[in-house]
Amino acid sequence: MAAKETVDPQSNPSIRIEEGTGHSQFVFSGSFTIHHGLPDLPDCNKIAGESPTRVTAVGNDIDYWDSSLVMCLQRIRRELDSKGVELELTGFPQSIDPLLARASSSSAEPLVEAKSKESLISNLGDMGINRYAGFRNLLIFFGETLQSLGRLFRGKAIFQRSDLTSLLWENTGRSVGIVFLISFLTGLILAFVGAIQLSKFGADLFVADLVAIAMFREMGAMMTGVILAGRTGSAFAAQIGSMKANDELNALQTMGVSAFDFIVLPRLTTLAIMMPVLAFLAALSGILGGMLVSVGFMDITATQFLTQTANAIDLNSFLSGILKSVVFGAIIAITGCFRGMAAGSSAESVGSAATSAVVTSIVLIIVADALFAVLFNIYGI
Amino acid sequence: MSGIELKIRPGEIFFIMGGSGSGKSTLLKTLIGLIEPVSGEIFYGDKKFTDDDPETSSAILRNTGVLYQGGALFSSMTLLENVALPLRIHTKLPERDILELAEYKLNLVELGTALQKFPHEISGGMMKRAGLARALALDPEILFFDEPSAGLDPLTSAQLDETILELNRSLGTTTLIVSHELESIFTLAHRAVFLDAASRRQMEVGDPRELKLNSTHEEIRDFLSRKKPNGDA
Repeated sequence: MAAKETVDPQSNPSIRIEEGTGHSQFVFSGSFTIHHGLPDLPDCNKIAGESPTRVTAVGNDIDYWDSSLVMCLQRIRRELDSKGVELELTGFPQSIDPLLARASSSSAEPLVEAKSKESLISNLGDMGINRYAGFRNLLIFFGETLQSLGRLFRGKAIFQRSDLTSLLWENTGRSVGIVFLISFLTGLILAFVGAIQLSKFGADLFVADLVAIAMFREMGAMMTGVILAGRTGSAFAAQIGSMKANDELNALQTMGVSAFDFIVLPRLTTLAIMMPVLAFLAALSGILGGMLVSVGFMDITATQFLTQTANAIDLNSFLSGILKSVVFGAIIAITGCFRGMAAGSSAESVGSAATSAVVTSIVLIIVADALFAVLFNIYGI
Repeated sequence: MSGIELKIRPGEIFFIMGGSGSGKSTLLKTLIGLIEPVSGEIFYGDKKFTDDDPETSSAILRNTGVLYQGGALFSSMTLLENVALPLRIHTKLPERDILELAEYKLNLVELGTALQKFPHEISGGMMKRAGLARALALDPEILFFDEPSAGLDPLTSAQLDETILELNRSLGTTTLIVSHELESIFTLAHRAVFLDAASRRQMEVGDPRELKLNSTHEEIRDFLSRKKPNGDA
């Protein structure tokens, strides 16, 4: 057998019918390869209509052949079988018979229709059940994490201190640049937009208040949270998803080590520690951006801007931003780790886990921020 | 690696064997173009396999099939779709014919009842067989296997060996297998090359049954007899 790469037009496959007394013959000639394509099959209805009991397929004139020949014979045999006519082979290569036998060995199922269609209600029901299961799993995960924190405070959590230090560097050292840049630009934009409106009332100097309060209370923590959700949350999900696929989580379990202590806790701790630091840096860089606009484009000196800024920031603004950043850090860590642990074993599911970690983190950060806004309003903070 | 000089005969089952780190997989990857050799030439028949002629190299590769160690099935596709993929890319067959051919290939490896399964839904042995079906999709003249028995239990490994042997007899495909599984070597191999782990050089080529008894290298005799270097079994 040889599969020809280049198609020889002189040896296109053909099957012709030769009639004899009492029986018919299918004569195969030419090259039967997948590159020639499967030829038109003879009309088995016509043959069966003449009531033969057997049909002979003759293969002496075949040049080259591969699976294409097996497919043709299988289709013809199937058609004739359904009409109670037997197909005999003569002159074919010796290896055709075992290949034909294997080709017929599956339970014949329709190939084209892979999935049956389900009703809309059924799909909605499945979606609801999956959402509920996902929410329930998240609550369980949250509970396990709290238990792990309890072990940490009692000094009984098992994890590697080296993981803490490497994660600290990964989460902060490498994030400083992008947090600074994004926050600087955010402060710049706030100053530009604020200046336009404030200048109508001759209150240009209050741009400093606007930027300082916005950055410390809201944007510092928010922008840092969004950046780290994309950068760190997705990395957590991908790392843990790969560990799961590699049976590393199972290995921890059989060693008697809690995956929550060993994997989730270091990540939660580092983000809870470093998010406030980064949020503070973000606030400062935002103020720097605002100052650049004020000094460069408005009639405000740097001294005026900084004095106004210092007067605008109070302890409530500062602490509310810090508190939010701690909560946002916990959200990112828990969501990233949860998605990673819930990932399947395939490459696709690890990728999906990373994506959904980002989306879920950002949504939860915004929800948390809204809740904080309501709470602070109620308590006058 | 150096000193590699091999001539593989059409239709034979040829093993590349040696200890861990001897360069078996490196040699295989070089033969299929994943690694570029520093020097030397590779010929498929009378066609030179080289980066300087990508068209010829692509045509050569389309005539080969590779079964990777883990099967390398695409996780987002069913087994049927995995096997159909090369047919869709490299032939102009209508969809119905492609699906039927893909089903036929899966039947050849006794996976006809798992057409719509995804890779994560089947066992390691089934993944290997599905990978083999995909390697056979374009009716290649040459098949490469990278440690086909890795991760398989003895029974599944024996079944896979039987499938490889039957396919070789039915299809006449030249088969190159990287392996250090002695059971497979003695069951399947017509000839084999032994690579030395220390020097990463070719030591000897021949029928493994003869090498076991008559090889001029003690390491080869020990390897094939499963003896430790001090002579204990």
